[in-house]
Amino acid sequence: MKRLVAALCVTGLAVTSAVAEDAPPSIPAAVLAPGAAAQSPALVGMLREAETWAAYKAKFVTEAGRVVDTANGLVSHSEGQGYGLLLAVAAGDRAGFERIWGWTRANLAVRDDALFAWRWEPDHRPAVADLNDAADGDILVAWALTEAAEAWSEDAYRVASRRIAVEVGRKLVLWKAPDGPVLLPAVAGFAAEDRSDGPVVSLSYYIFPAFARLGLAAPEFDWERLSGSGLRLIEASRFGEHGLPVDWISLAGGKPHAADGFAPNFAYNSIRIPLYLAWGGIGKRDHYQPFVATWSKQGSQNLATLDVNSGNSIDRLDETGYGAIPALTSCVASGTPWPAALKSLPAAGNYYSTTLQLLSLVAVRMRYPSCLHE
Amino acid sequence: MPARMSAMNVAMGVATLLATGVVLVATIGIACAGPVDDTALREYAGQKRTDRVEMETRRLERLHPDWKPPADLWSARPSGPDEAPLWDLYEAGDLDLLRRAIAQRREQQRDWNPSDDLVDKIKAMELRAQIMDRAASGKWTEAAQLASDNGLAGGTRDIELLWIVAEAFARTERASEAAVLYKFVLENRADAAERTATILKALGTLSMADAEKLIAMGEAGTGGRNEFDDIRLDITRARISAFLHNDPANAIAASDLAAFEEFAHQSSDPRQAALVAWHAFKRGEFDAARDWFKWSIAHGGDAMSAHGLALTLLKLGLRREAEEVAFAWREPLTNNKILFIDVLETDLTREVPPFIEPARIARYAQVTMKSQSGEGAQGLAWYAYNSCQFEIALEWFKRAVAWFPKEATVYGYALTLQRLNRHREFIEIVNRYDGLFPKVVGLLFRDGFNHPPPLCERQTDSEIAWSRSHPRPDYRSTSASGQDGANRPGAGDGSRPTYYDEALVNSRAAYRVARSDFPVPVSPQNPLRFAVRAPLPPDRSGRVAQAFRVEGPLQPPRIARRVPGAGAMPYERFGIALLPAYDGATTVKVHTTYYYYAAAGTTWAEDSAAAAPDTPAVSARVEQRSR
Repeated sequence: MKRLVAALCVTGLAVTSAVAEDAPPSIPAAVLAPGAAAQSPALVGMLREAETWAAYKAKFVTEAGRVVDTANGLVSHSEGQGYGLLLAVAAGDRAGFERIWGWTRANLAVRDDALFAWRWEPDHRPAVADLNDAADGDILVAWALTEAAEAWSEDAYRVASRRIAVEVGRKLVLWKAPDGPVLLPAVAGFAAEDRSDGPVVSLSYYIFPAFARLGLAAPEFDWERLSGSGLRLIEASRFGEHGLPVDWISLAGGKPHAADGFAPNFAYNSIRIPLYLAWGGIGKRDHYQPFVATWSKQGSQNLATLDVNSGNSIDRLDETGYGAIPALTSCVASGTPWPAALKSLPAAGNYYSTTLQLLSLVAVRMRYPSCLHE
Repeated sequence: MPARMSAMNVAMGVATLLATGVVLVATIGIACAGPVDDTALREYAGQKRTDRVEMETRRLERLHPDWKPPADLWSARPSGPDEAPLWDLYEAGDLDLLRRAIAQRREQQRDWNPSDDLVDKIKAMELRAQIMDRAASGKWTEAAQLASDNGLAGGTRDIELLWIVAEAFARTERASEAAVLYKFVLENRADAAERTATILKALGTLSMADAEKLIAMGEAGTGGRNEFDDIRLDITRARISAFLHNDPANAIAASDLAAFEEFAHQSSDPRQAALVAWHAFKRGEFDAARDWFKWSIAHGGDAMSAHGLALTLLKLGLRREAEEVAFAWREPLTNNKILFIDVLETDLTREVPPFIEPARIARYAQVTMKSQSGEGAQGLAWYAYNSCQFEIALEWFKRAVAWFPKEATVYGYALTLQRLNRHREFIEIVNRYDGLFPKVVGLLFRDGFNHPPPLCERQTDSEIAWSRSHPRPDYRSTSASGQDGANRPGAGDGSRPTYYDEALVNSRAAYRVARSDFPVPVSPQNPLRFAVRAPLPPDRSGRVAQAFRVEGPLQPPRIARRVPGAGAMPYERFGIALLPAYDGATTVKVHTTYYYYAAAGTTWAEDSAAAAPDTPAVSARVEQRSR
């Protein structure tokens, strides 16, 4: 017993450094534990399928750098621009990155702050539809710029990523919320002042792999804590017989529930939750379980969005790319090999499903390369 | 001021500083008490040797005043002498070997079972190892769950384990449960070092408000000393930090602050001085803040201290010095680069620009180009414009609109095009931003008030005097007709909205705006680009033919729609309506709506509240940008 106690003594002294590392909640962890963000894997080079990326660009990216949502009136949004930027970094395509970033700032940076107008419609005057932003788009762009700055040591990207990340941390996160930080989906419209059931959140806006890296750009914010509270929110947001989250969740009253005025569906937004979990390399088997169970029950040919209350299917997700997220969760949960077909661009398929497929491919290579057998 | 500066800046500065706590903490010796070792006691009980049991009990009670003999001391299945080798393994802490040894023994002796005592000890040891393991790999939620599932949330005599469990609770938003554990130590343990170390742990994991409750449990010793006086500096540091983060904490006594300042002066760690500096900064004691930041930098302080110094100099009105500090420290820290850009941007955009040496402009332009800063580009553009150098202004405005197409930037660009008589380009810009930027559209639809001509056009004082004393009548009349709602064409009939074509004919605005100028269809896309640098290196996908999505001709409409968040268009005062917004909204959500309010609970809201009473708009803008 003596030796054991002695060993503990040593640990005890070493552990005292936690006093510094932990400090009060609003003290940024990333600065205190320098390198936490730097230790998280980098994105560059994670999309090695050059033909797939080229085909993606030919299909969805205009020469001007606009990422086109082909199933949705050919509009663009900050989210799509963010995805395009991330894929360009992952593909090591600096010229492509510059093209997409050039369009993004020239057309969406019209707000009077560092965030982006979220929606752009080519057949309207003006094309910007709303001066409100979308937190996921802002975060994706800031993260992509952070990765680009790391990958190519580019000052311009570093300055821009910091300006955006700071604005996200300042305007979109309720850092002192009682159950941990809450990410608002936009500057306007979702807070407690804006809606009787506010704050309303979308769990699919908690982009965990971005939180793991934003400390490089804005270390004064505790992005890790935001990840932690997002993870707990996912645990607490299990509705209906499938135990799935809905796209829009009200946090009013403390217990998460479906937000007013939104269909109680596990749908296009929420399907990204397991993608971000896996891509962030976080979560336990239990976090993936409802998704894995639902999709294995549906079968890969019958993926669909669901009404979580009735358990009924709403929309079929029949484009090939959607299958990449179930493939990713199967890889995480049981090491299922990545289907070869999901490495190349499907002949048919719109912007969203195809983008999700490429993002999933990047995520699996970054976090679960054994499923790729490379 | 502290205003928006800067909870952020302060937070960032402080963050780097608190790491310093380690220095002090390490000096506190901890007598490692650990769990009470009752092995011998149980062994004597197993052998029914009451005299030995009594002696050992007294010994343990002396060592651990709060210890009580285990209730199952006499009833537990005794550990026989044959278990001795197993206990050796247990003591060595080698669980794997121990488990194998037990399995082996059971294979040899089917009816043999380890003693209850050993089984319990192994279970506790396994649990401890699991929790420590989860904590070490950062799986705090799991560590906390294991602890509460196994009855550790109420407290344990294993102080190391207790600290880790408390930390796990604190890290997973279960701070109140962490506080319970720390309180358990203060209520049940007498060891001075343990108690002090527990306060240090609490300072590291709890909010200061919760930590203060524990500090208040400190017992008075001899000579009026409090038992926690040894860690007074750590407590003061935590209070300073809480103050900087707008977190509630007890006030810092003047004597405590003085002691901390003295410590900072003696310390070889420049971050201690920087903490004092941020504290002074937040209290608006800028002279002191400047001295402390300088002291910190002189003693090896980092770029964040320099950032603090630059912000302090701004507060002292020493803009020029602030600019130099930010410039000198721009490479190690992006914050400084951004601050450098934003400080001079403010000067550059003044309507009557101050004199700025060409070398300073040159280096500013260089940083602007290198960092593709739209803020910098528009600063240079306005500087050129206000210095009547319109061609140069145009070049910078193009960059600014490519990188930073805000209303003021696009306005400056349009104004410059207008000034250079580049009419078609001007018209294109106004039409592109119709519906979005009222100020830009306002260049066509004047507000009807007489404005002094731009500086570069004011040729003589007498002309200026004349224009001021002779408002032009036609402007006035337009304004009268425009602003009187009752006379507006189409106003109030409520039947259907009136769009440009018909309304323009009826309105006086038609006199001014040529049909060929507005509204005309233009590409909605902003085509301006200034890439990082050319040529970019060939990319990975260079091997594959570059192809992009071919966009069909855009069919730009001529009538603008409402954009939520944008102000009213100037022509709306003539009764001309906009198409509904994308969400069907028809009314203006002007700048007083929720679009421009900070949600309660954001840092933005905290900053705005702090800024509201006294921060001048301009410096607020700089500070906001320079976070």
